[in-house]
Amino acid sequence: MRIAAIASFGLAARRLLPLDTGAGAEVGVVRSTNIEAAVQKAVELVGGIGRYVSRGDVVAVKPNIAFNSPPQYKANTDPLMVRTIVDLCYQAGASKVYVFDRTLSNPRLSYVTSGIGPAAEEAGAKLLYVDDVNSKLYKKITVADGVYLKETLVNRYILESDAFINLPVAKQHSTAGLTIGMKNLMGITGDNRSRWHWDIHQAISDINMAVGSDLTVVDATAIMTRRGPTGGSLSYLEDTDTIIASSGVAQADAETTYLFGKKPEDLGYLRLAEQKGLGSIVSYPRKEISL
Amino acid sequence: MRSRTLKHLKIGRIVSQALFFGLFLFVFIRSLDPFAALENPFLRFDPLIFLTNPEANLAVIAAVAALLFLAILLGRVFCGWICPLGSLIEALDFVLSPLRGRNPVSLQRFPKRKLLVRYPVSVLLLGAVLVTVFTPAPVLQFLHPNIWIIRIVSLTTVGLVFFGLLLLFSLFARRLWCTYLCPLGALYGLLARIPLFRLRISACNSCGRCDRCPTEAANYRGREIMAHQCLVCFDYESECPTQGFRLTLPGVGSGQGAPAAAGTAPASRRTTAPPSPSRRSFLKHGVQLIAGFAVGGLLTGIGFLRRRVTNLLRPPGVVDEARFVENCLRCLQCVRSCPNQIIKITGGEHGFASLYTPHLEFRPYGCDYFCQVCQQVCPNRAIPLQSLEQKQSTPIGIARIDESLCVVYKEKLNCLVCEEVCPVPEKAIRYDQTGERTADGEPLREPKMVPEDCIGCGICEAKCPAEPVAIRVFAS
Repeated sequence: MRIAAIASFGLAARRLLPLDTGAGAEVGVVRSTNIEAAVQKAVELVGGIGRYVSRGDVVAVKPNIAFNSPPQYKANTDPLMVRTIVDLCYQAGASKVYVFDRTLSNPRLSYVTSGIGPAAEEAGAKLLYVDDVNSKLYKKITVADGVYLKETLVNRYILESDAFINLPVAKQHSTAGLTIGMKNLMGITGDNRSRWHWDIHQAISDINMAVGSDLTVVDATAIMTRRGPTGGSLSYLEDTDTIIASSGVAQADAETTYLFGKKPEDLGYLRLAEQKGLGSIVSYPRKEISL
Repeated sequence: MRSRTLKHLKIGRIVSQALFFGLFLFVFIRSLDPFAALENPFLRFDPLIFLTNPEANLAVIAAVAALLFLAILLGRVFCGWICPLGSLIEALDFVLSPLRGRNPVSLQRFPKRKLLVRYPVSVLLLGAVLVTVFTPAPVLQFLHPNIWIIRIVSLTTVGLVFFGLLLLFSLFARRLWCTYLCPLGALYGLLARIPLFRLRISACNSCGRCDRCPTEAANYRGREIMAHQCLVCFDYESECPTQGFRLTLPGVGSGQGAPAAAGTAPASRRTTAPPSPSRRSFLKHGVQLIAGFAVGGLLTGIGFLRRRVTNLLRPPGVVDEARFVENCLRCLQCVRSCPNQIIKITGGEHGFASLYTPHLEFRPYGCDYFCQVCQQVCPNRAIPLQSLEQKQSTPIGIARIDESLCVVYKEKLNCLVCEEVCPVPEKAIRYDQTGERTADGEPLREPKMVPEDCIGCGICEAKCPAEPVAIRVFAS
């Protein structure tokens, strides 16, 4: 976790590695119906898991487990994808992998129904349940140059981890446009995040400025094109059989927008991300393969 | 019967009580876990509870029939060997026995106590309960032993008050609740009067040791055991100097086949005579039961007991509130099992009829779209068990947006959290773009209800960021 060192000194939380070079981070796109192979390949395309996880690291993995909804509706990240990532982390020598989300539905129900809880535990990860926000679980950080967020509570396990892996699922969302990797970080805060909807693009770009995802792997195996983010009908899904990985969360999101027939500039928070220094959302190195 | 056999039977009874009490505690603790979705067999298979909402479920019918048959075959074995409340009472009786011994008003010193045993209030209560099982007044719910034990171990206020009452009872007599008050005990007691295998006195030297019978069912002066009170507990029978107790069919054990002991003469004289006192008391029980029916009938006529439709939101699947209030056992199983903890206990403010019934308050999660735990655990299906599809389409109430509180209408901010979290696939909350814009120049999206799609699950209410909450569910 790049910001952890600074944040723990109580200073402004910001990235250690400046990314405002203009160019975006590299994006790996894998098209395949085999989720496990696709995830492994996508991570390989952006440098391999060893680039993100070193021996002895504590890793925080944050899938989207917002709803108590079974896997086939794709309201949550695919459980197999979560298991594959946890496996990769342990293969890279991680000492501990935490998997969690601040769910909208009851966490215990959501973890089980989504299939992510059992899948992650099977792979040896530790699940954290965010039933309520307390000081044991959350820590206040200052958001440097934050427009909407000046300070916010962030899950300690992310702040104190060595590597933070963002595992979103791609869905339509009425207020934000789409919910992918950047919006997935709404689940790391302890604030009243419903309020963030009142200025959602600033809020999403601010939290992503404050807390960088080391690696983002997008579940776009079947995207929810309408009635998101809850869905609940297979007719809302479109099979896209794609896994997208990047060290830049904005670039991972930008690449995903094309699957919805949109452009990165269509999303307010992606435009703001580029302005705030998360790298270009239109020009970035890109590798694509089909398995 | 030989003393050793009787001693073994006593030990067997205590072991059985411990096992069933352990099972009860295990079921209770497991039932706190929403993933267990456990049906409590102590409530589910209870004959009186079964009557409140008879269900065409073969397993349940078979279990209920087995319990009734057990009472016909062997007497109140349930009360003596199984009932968790009975076991708790017995433990209290044991602990408090030194105090009871010194209590000057203990029932054991009450000269007319046998009369009370012969005509206990419980038969009257059973009558009242049986009437109210079929009519609106909730009475059973406040007299049922298996529900009280659950209220006690749940540490609810009423449960603890009842526990206090039991402590007090223990100062006056052993098994006071079971002997004089329990309607379920009365039901098994009436069945126990059908003379099949019963404990009988075949020999007696009038030593009076059986006066220690906890329910005062043994009457050595009359050489009889009152089967409707006998819990078949074998507590003291092994101490009978004449070994005069027999567990037999009528006429088999009494007087014949017994070793001729000194005291058999009066016994045989009694048993060969027609059991007229017993028949008389049988008639009196009938009268009591009918009086109970009258009391039950009166109770249903009393206004404050009568079911009343409230504006409360009831657990999912409840469509007929009046019927629900009538059937609900007030066992609070749904309240304890709800994973989202949105089922709350109703106090007295909605009338006596709704007291301790469950209602919903949606913060912080609302009623989960895929969850049916309350339906699965409800012992008498007062909350109907539906298919998931039915549950997902049966309205609990209906949500209404208060435009004077909603930030979209009031402050021209985009929000739509309610639309976002609505779990109905078609979305019961949608949005309109009116052409207005937010301060940032984005098109303003106003949430709109689609009332016919709303199932009143309250997730929108639970997640609404406005203060006070701008979208609320109301009973439809």
